[in-house]
Amino acid sequence: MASAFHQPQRPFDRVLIANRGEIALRIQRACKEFGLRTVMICSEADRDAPYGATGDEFICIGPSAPGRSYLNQSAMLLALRASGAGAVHPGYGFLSENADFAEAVEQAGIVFIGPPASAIRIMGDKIAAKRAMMEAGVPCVPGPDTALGEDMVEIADVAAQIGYPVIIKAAGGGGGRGMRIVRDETMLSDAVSVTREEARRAFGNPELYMEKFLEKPRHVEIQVLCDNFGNAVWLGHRDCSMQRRHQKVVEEAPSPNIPDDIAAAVGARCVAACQRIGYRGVGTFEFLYENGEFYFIEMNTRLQVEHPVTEMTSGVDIVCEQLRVALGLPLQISQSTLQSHGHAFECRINAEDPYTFAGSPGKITGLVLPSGDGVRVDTHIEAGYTVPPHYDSLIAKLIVHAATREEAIIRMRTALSAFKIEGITTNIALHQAIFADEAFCAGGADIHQLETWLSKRSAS
Amino acid sequence: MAEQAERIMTRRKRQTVLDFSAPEVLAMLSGWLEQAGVHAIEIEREDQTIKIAVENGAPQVFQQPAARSKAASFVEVKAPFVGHFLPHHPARDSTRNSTSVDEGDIVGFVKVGPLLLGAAAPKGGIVRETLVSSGDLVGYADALLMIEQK
Repeated sequence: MASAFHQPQRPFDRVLIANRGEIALRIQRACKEFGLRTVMICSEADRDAPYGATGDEFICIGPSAPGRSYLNQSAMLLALRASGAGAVHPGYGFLSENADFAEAVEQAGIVFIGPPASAIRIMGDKIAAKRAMMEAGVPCVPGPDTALGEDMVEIADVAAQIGYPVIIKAAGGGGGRGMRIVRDETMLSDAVSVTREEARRAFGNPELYMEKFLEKPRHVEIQVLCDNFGNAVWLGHRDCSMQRRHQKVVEEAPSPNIPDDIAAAVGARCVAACQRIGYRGVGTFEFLYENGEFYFIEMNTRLQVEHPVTEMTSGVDIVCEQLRVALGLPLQISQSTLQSHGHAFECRINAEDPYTFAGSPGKITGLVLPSGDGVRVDTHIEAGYTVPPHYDSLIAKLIVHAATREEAIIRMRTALSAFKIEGITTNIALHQAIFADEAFCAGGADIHQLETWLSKRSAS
Repeated sequence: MAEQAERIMTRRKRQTVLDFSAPEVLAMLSGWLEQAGVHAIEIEREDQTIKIAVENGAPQVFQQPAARSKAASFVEVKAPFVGHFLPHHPARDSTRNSTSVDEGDIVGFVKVGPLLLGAAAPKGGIVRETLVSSGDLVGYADALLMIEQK
């Protein structure tokens, strides 16, 4: 850290944090460690957020609607210009994976703290991403690396070669949208036409592709980190299988019950793929994992919400490393020095009903945060803070770390019971139920487990 | 008739051409009251309040200037965008000729690089205060000036 702090001629000394909430504070913390000044931005809804005052500057860039503030490229670029920031950190969500924005930032002579726009663009196109991964030797879900044509006979041939069930996906999709499972040939034609229309409307790109549908996979990720000098490492793997409506609820690192040699082989291929495409900064390779095999599904070209669990087990501050790379410095870690220590969990604490998931914005009248050895809370809330209704319901991330998975489960149960948020409804009760569930505690749950559990609960 | 004499009538009138300080006007009003059997009348307008009471056939007149009926009403001129505030166009004279502005008048600017965006007065009135200094970084919808409405 000292060498970065005393870097004689830095490419920038002021960072605009183009995000809000907990991740804006998380990034600000890393900037402070590097002695970088921070420009926090907000919408009108966040104008009175107490965390704004913690930056060197706090400026409102637009109305409350995300499209007119946090997603407004023009407003963000003008704010960059007006504030004199030399770099922008997009965090996650909003503009973080927008290749056009990254390109506009680069053209303005400002450092985009993330990969090159070209890499974002390739990975944003699921077909191009799959092709790039297949060429790099990263294992992919069975299916061609080309878009489906218009001829239904040819499409049926592709499905027959893969073997039913298959899944039809939009090339520009993500987040669980724009996909359909097809279990036999009679369903195929309708599924293709409906998904194509959905893709055209939702993503502006009607291209589709087809893959083998895995029945009970787990969602496993590999975190990578690359500099501008050809150095790249993978920091470990994590499991994000506990999802509802395709949104992650609980994450853990490492993924339970995955043999080290299998994970290491896939990690090495991810690193090789990054070097091959000239990747820079942090990235996440997302895989489905079933029957001891990894299948690439997509790459996220940004910081992930769940990055803290990998930080806890690897001992690497991922946001600081992002800054180091953006400052043009080489990585100070190598693959041979990296080890995974203990086990970490993260619970996403949302302002929502624990079972209906209806949002619960409003004023927080009382707050007690858990603390203690191996307990970390990344949050922007405090007593008196009003959760606005305009944005994602995530208000805090509760992270625990312990020597073993069993100890980490016990630590999380204790931390959840100590976490008190009054005035609004949160999903803490759901997390408590998950950490009391035998199947989850056994480890290795598949991506359908939480939805199945919730269905059974509502039926009973 | 006695009841009528006891009746008090109050009228409120916002605008009139009558000069209530003129003796002939007071005499005329008093005569009308007597004819109508009205004991008293109170007339309120923006500049004064007048009360005429008829007692024993002799009208008595009470006059007083009206209290300022409403507190001054202020509106803020807000920044149209994030940028650096300029109180006047950089190519023009820095002295504002008048603090009186009409609705829609450009009363300040926000500069972002080469862009200069005007901040318009939402209402007409008198510019009472400039809330930020020239060159300050301002955000979207930050208050720049205070206008007392006409």
